[in-house]
Amino acid sequence: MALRTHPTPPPTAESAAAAAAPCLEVRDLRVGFALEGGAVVQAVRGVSLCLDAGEVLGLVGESGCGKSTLARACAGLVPIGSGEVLLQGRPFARLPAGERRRLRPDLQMVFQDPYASLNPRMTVQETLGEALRVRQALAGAALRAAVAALLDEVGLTPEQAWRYPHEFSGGQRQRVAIARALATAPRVIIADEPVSALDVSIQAQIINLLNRLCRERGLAMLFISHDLAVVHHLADRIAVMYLGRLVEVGPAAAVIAAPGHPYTRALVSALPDPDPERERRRRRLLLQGDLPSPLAPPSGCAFRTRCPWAAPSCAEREPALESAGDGHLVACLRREEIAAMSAEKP
Amino acid sequence: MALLDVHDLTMRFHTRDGVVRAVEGVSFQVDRGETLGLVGESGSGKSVTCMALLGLVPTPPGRLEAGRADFDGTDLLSCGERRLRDLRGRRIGMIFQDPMTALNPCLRIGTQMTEVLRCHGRCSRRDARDRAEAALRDVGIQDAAERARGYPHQLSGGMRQRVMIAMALMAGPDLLIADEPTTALDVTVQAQILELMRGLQQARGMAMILVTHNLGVVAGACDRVAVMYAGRIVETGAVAAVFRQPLHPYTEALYRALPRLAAGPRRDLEAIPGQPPRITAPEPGCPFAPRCRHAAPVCREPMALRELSPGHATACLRRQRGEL
Repeated sequence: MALRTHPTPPPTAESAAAAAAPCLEVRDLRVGFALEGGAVVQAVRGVSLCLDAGEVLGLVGESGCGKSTLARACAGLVPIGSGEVLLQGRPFARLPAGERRRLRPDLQMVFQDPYASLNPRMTVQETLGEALRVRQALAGAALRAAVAALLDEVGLTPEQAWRYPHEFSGGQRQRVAIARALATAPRVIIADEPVSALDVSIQAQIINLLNRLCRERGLAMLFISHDLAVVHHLADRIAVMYLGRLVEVGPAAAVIAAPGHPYTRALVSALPDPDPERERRRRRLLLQGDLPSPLAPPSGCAFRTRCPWAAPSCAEREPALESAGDGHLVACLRREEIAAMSAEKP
Repeated sequence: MALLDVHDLTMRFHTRDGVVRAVEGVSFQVDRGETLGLVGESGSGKSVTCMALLGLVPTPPGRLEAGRADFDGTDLLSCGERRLRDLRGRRIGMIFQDPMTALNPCLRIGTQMTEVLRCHGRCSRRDARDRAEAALRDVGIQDAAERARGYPHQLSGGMRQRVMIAMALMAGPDLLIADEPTTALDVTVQAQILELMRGLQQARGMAMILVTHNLGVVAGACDRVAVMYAGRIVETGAVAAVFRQPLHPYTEALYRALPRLAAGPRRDLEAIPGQPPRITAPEPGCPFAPRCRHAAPVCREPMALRELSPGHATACLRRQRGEL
């Protein structure tokens, strides 16, 4: 397809190093927002993660946990406090705006609300055409063919290129937003709650589309959602975030089947099961209370105020991510005790 | 006799772009102490159904074309505003999806709560305050007296929804209509609120209509379910029966399209092709036919719910003819 034969940059020492590095790497990232009156909200408090080529990393957490801020910081949309964001080995977030612009085609975002993220005054042809020309000087029939190919890839028809965003339904509009992200032939896509605003039947279509695109194009994707079940259908690995920190990262199957952090256990347990018999039989791990204010996170482990297993020691030390075997990392001081306790209980 | 008996409810909106058939010939019953789940995707008519029962649909553009809704001997659709005002809040409680817009941001929580009791009379100011505080404690809000003096913006989303529930339950209604009560909440808080509602409902023997798009919530919280599509009920029955053996292809497709943890990682979902229909220009026959894999010429004939086993009805013509 014409799309994928965009000119690759000539090999240099820099790009050789980039080939070996992970697609996207985040090192000890901190992002804070200053409020009126001098207080600072630490939205992201020391997050490290790594995304390889062709891999889908699911990032789960509840509202206010900092997952969207993390996504925006990775894309260079909010200034970072400290730490690094490396795009194919290059310090993306720290580059001056001009240089970052040169790399931006490699990293694209899909947002939750395609109403807000597509320009209402541009037809799909104009929106996609503009993005396609970033990589290739296309015009006339060649440009129309490239747009048609993109639309076909996301399950829309070439005639729909002449419509405006308001003429599409929510699901179709999200397809346009995805086509828009693909137009620059990116290596990495950051998708922030792309299916949360969609109905179940349409949500399934978009999940399948993203799955297929990642496979076919070998894309790496950071997929952000509050819904663990949705993430489970897309992600190779899952990272769980709570109050600005990662509390668990690991292979998707392991995180779902054997969650190591009490918060992940609660998330798995809180998800309603559409099987009435299983749903009524099972015992839930119900949390008390709400998310604490990110302005004043609890000392030590931030989850301890809602954790059924919290002990006095949890208030003293902030737990670091430690290995629970096979690439599965858990940040809980009492991880082994809790695992032993819940193994005893049937 | 059922506490609420809705028959042939039809509500249309007359707009400049044409007539929107939001609810078309919807019939269902709710017994005392029972929870009916009203499930469907956006635009399926589930919220309009509830609003119509409470007389909350603005008319115009809305117009009640037909229907009856017997609530304990009173027809809610024809009884008039004065009688409705007497029932709403006292015998029929309601909870809306978004607690931020449903609560008045300028009034103290206690003031809003006692307003319901004071409106329906027979209650002194002090009495009302005590009952409001007791209601807050019932929904698991500690320091109730202090919260009652506060304003909605001082509460988190979960707390606000608790206040809404407390307010709806305070007058001890026989029927609670809850429109997506947990949709705006995080999953861990959703689990808390559902657990709370289940407990309160059992303790009071109250009937409930729970509107949701989440089949998981239905599985956990409802006794019976009515599945809506394009303004019509396409299937209704006991939750266990409908989930074990759906009799309408839409119910089955919706169930299969759900993301779930039991599947392996990175597994594709069985999506429903196409888009929900435009309800301004309905085709005759089954509205789901254009997306249905079992569609046949017979699906263009008029459809109606028919019971195929006791209490379990479907509107699928092919299923009714025994072809599926």
